[in-house]
Amino acid sequence: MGACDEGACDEAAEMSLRAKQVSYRIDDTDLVSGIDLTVGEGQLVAVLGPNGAGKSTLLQLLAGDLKPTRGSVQLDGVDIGQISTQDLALQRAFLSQNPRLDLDFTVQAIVEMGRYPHRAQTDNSPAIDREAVADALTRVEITHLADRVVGSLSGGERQRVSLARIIAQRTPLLLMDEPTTFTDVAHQELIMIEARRIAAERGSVVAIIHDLNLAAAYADRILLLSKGQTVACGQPAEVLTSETLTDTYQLSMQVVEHPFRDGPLVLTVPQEITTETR
Amino acid sequence: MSRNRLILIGLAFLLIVVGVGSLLVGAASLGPSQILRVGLDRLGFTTDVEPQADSVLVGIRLPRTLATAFVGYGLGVVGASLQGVFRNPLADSHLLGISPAAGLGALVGYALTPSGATSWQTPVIIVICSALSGTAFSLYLGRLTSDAGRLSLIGAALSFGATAWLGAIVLVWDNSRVPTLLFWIFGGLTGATWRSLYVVAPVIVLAVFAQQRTARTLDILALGEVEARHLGVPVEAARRRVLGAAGVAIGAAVAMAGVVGFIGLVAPNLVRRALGPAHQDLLIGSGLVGAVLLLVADSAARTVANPTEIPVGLLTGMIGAPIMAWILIRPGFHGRVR
Repeated sequence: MGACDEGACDEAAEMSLRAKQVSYRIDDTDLVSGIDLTVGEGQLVAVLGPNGAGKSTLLQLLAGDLKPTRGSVQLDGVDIGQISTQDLALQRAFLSQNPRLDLDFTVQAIVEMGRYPHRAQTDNSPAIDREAVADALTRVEITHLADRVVGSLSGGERQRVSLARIIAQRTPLLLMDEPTTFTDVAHQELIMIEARRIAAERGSVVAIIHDLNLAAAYADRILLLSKGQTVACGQPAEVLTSETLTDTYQLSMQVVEHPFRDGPLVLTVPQEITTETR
Repeated sequence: MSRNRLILIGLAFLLIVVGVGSLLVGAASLGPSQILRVGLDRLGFTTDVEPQADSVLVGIRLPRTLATAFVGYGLGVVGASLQGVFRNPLADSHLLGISPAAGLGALVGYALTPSGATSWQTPVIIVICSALSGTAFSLYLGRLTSDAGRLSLIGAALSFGATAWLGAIVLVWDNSRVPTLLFWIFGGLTGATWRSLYVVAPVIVLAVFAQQRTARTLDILALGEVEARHLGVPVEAARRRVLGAAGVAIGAAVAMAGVVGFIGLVAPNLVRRALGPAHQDLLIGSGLVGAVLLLVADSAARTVANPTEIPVGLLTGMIGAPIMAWILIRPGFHGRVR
């Protein structure tokens, strides 16, 4: 159950992203240690875990932002550290947790920035750029905001602008650090549906998600982290069990069969108030 | 036509008007009709031009007006690109110390020029030394830190130091040259001749062109370094490119006009609200406004205390300081480029 690599977790026939025994150590502390993960084409992998579990660090390692102290990250068989900044931008897009968007640029201009890596590509053209931007705006339902100044938008709207920019980048690999932050319930579903569609159309998606049920509903596989290490990895039903979750989150949780679809439904069980606190 | 394009055309028109206006200003009084007659005469139509009017206009005022426009344009563009690359609306070649460093270089070049140098060699040597010094300094600055706030303070400290050295060297070197060399410190366009213009203008044009080519990258940098890297911008290399071009442009501008402050600071902040944050238009607009401001300042420098000429750097300071204060005080100021 441990590694998200071989056996049940290695369903990918065509491998696109592979992390092998990847670790990141800073000041004698292992933020991430010995994680295996293979993400194949068409897959959406959700990374779960409590705060400080090393999720964001892992995502930065997968993005090539951080250099692993041990182990390796490969994109289509090539060590990610060997790929130039320019080429990497054509292969992976990254949705940050708190994108800096208190800017005076219009939404349209921000999404157009997603086309920057393609500017020197011979197979690119202004028509393709326009089409990609229009398509990205439509997908996250912000076409009506195109001429608005991005700094004037709400948090949830800005989050969708960032997502549109990443979509317009049109990379085979998409890494997302909490894509549903600041967004309302309806748009959380929209974002996850879009993430699924991108995985199906273009490649693979790795997303850090806090909402366990959102992950259960949309992820092909879930990687559960705690204290920098893999707790469990596999299909949602395998990973999301009452014991594992209760143990990992230190909060009593019950997993039941989802009443309306196949798969697990996670419920938190309210703690009984103890006599001391009363 | 887009709104921005109309604004830019308007600014270009304003630049022409101010430029022609600056030809009318000076110690000898020349009216518009005399300018027109000299122009027609030079174009081949024979008119009754006094030879003195021709020599004042074509020999003295025209190169000065052109030099002022080139220097002002360069200062404006560099201000905008520095503010973009450091994501700080207070970034400026003077405040960051690039201009004083270039001034030191120019002074060294002046000292190095052999006494038998031809009138062509002198400006070339000065421009090379000034540009090298300005570029080396701005690249060094870019390596120190990417934190815009800290950088402004470091730059301010270094700027103060460089200005002090500039003053001290001039005083100690040769006391009798103080009046003529004061202009390295306070700025001035008295030395603008056709010859120096031929040397300086191409350098400024090339550096400005290099800056313009980085416009889209500067836009991406507004998202922050991490995001820029995710979009394929090699941030350090991009910063070096912008700072290198800035150093060259400032070097050439300082060699021509000495240290002129505030133009690079004020011009981008004046046009950013009208043109928006995208650098393609912002750089051009800042250049045009920079040229207009410096032409106005230089015209004033020549007239307000006639026959004494006030160093133009002092005038831009007198005008620029309150504008800067206004930028800082007004409610829309956010402490960073948005």
